[in-house]
Amino acid sequence: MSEPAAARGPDLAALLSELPDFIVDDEAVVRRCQVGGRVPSAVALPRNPEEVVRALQVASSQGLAVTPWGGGTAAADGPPPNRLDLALSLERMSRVVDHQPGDMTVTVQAGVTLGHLQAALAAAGQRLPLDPPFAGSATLGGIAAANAWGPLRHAFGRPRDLVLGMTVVTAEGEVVRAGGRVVKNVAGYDLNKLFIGSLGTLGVITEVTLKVWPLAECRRDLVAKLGPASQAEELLAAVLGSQLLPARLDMADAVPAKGPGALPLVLIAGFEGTSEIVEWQVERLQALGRELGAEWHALSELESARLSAWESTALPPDPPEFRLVVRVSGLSGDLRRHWEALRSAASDLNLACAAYSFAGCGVTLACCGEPEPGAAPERLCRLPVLLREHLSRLRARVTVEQARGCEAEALQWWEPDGPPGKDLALRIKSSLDPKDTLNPGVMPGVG
Amino acid sequence: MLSSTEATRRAPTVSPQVIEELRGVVGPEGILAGQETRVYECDAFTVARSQPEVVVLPRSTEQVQAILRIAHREGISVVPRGAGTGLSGGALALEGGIQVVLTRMNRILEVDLRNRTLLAEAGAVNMDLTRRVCDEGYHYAPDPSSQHVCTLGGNVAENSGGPHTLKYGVTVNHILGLELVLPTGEAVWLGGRGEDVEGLDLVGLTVGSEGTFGIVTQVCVRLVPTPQAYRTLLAIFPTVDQATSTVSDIIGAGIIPGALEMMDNLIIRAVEAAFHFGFPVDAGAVLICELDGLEAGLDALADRVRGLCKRNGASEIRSASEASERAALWKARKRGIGATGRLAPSCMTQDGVIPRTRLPEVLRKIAAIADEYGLRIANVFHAGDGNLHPVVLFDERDPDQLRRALAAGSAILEECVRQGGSITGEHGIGMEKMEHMSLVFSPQDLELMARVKAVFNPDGRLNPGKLFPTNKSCIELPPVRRGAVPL
Repeated sequence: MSEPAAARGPDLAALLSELPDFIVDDEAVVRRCQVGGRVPSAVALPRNPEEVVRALQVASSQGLAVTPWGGGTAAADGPPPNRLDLALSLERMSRVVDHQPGDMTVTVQAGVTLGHLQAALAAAGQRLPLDPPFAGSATLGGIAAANAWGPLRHAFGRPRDLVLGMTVVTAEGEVVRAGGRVVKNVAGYDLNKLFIGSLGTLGVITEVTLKVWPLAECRRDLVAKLGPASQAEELLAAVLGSQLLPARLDMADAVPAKGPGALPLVLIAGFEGTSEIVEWQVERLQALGRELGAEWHALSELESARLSAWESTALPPDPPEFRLVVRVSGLSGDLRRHWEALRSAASDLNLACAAYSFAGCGVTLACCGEPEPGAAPERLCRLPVLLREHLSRLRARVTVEQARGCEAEALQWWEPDGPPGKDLALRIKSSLDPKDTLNPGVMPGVG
Repeated sequence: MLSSTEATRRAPTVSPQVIEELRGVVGPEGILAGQETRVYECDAFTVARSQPEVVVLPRSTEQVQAILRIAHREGISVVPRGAGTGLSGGALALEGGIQVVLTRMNRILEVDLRNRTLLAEAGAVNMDLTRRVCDEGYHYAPDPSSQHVCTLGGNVAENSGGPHTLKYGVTVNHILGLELVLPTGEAVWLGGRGEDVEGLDLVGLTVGSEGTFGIVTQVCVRLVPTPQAYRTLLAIFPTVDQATSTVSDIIGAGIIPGALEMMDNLIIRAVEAAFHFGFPVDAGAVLICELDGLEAGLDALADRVRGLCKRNGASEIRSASEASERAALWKARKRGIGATGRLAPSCMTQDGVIPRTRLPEVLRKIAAIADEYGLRIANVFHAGDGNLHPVVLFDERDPDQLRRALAAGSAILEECVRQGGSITGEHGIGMEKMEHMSLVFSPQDLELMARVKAVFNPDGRLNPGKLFPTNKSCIELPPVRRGAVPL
């Protein structure tokens, strides 16, 4: 079995009489795939599903812990695995396997980056309506494993709504297929749902088939600077209750930037479609704004850049030494109360806090840190618990997305009672991965 | 092989004492036993029958839990059932046992328009959800053709679709959370009331599990704003080929209609005889293309679709300009399969899916299969999704016709799989297509599904004998009597 919490796991070359040629243990390569301070002993770089199978068979037989690796863009998210011996990078499996524009479907190997896929689709006038952070490096396998999304979720949903099929290698090295390549399919259980969002704890995704959409002819993003939170709430309800069909609807607060482009409380609405549809909606949006004393203007490039940096919870321009990104998920109609709870919890702990809400779906990401550099992290670690207390009367859930400078063990990452259906989830994990090979300690909502 | 005669011959699994105990749970009005259960011997897959020993109609989650605890203690099989509109035999009580019918749990418990959610019991009728909120400008999007009677719980079990799922998605895209009573009687909430709950997507996994995980008792659904405007076009084509090519062209042009449906000549004639909508009975095919969304730009879009129809040889393009015309058109379409009752004593509806660009080719193949087996096959389907509904017409009193009908159905599904498609788009596997699962899934895929099932339903007592292949031939044995079909 692997060493507990060693900086580097067991020496694979010593364990195995011969290292397969696609498994490497160069210092430079293994350092690249570290998660939460854990450095793998080796990195598998399979070129095909057969090598993924082999890597997992090796790991399973040696009792090694495996972390599937895509673009590394979520490596800082969630609690780190409690063991990490072998990182399994899909970077060499980066081919667009089959794009059928007429069928509006595309099949890709897991290592294809979102940016690469979008460029390939755009050539045929199509796109994948997903905008999670770091399109340039995030891979489709990783996006599926994390069920990662961005502002377009408001209109198009998440990976779980767009993935039609996948090929997965299980912890025991079996190749299984879920779903298919057609847009409607109810044959058997939808095992796609099992793997999407499972954070690599149930299988290694090697191929994904997705639904794609036509490229929008025209797109416009507008922003309204708002006064009190009550005005934001009113305007948000007015937009949601209107006939407008925004592609995105976000709310941001005190984007943590100094200098030009810094924003107060803002609401952002984006529209897509033919120019006629977009123009009609922009006019209607402006009329709604006038009724409620808010003025919409086009989102400038600078604001857009600031917001996209923030929405991805990427590091703000001046990263504080200690930082916590928490996610508050609840009802869209309770957003104002979520914000109030965030503000009071942050103020109780004397933390600086900035929030970004995906307003239509009731999800807020808040980045909190010490206002002064060099302060101790204890107060930061108390934030999730305090926030849950403040939100106890709402149907809101608080999870920690990222933590920097806090001891992982000192944090309550997930809701203390676990996610709904926790026992079922744990039983699924032990049935599919009895040796706890894949990302041990990373079960979403459970740890 | 099972028929209702054998089902009753089988040793009873529910003792008189257990029936009394169940009566105590649901009250004398909520239980049927003996010959009274006959009405529950089949669902809309009418060629197969199996009678439950006892039928209970609970009124609350607590009653469902109590029933399942009794069944668990006694080791009795349990099969949940909604309105019985399922087309794959999923609600058949194949081992007798207890049938739990959810139709009395039909309350809408909460409507929250600000958050666009509705909470209802599993027995609520699909259409009642929309009816409750339509005056406020919202609707529940999945609209299976049986939506006037089918239940939300049944929709969840089958992951039901409908014409408008082309643009709006199927059931799983609209379910936020659900309450599931496990075979042990334990009730769990999966998902929640909001859009985002951490953890595995157990809601997504449960939707479409065909009643083999547990009994769904409450469901929180997402509501969708009703489109501001519609343009509903009816394009008439001399041939099926022209209609299917038009479908490919519309999708290829980047146009996503709210619905894109096709009916062939056999269906047109049946529907016309039943509803007198004014369909041309000599047309080869009609295409219903419904564009919806904002009023702005909708006419221009409709013109583009008209142009594509004309280019493919449409002989006429009508539009349903009044809301009443639109309603009549959809009524005719949604009752299309029912109308085939006028064409033959029996029909069997297949549900294969293909990549939409393969429509012309596969429709030609279906015509060839009809010829080969000496049967008529009518087509009414969700063309935009590539979800076919070939309706095989036959007379089930003739064993040879039944055999040929089953064989023709299989041949169609094999063709769908050959074209990169699937054996079911919205009707489910049930008992009808169990043996076809091996066409699309490897033993490893099926083994994984079996492991997942075992987590929820370890002894397989819940909806036994469904979904997984038994590796027995499904069409070998002759039927014992009218309606009975070998498994």
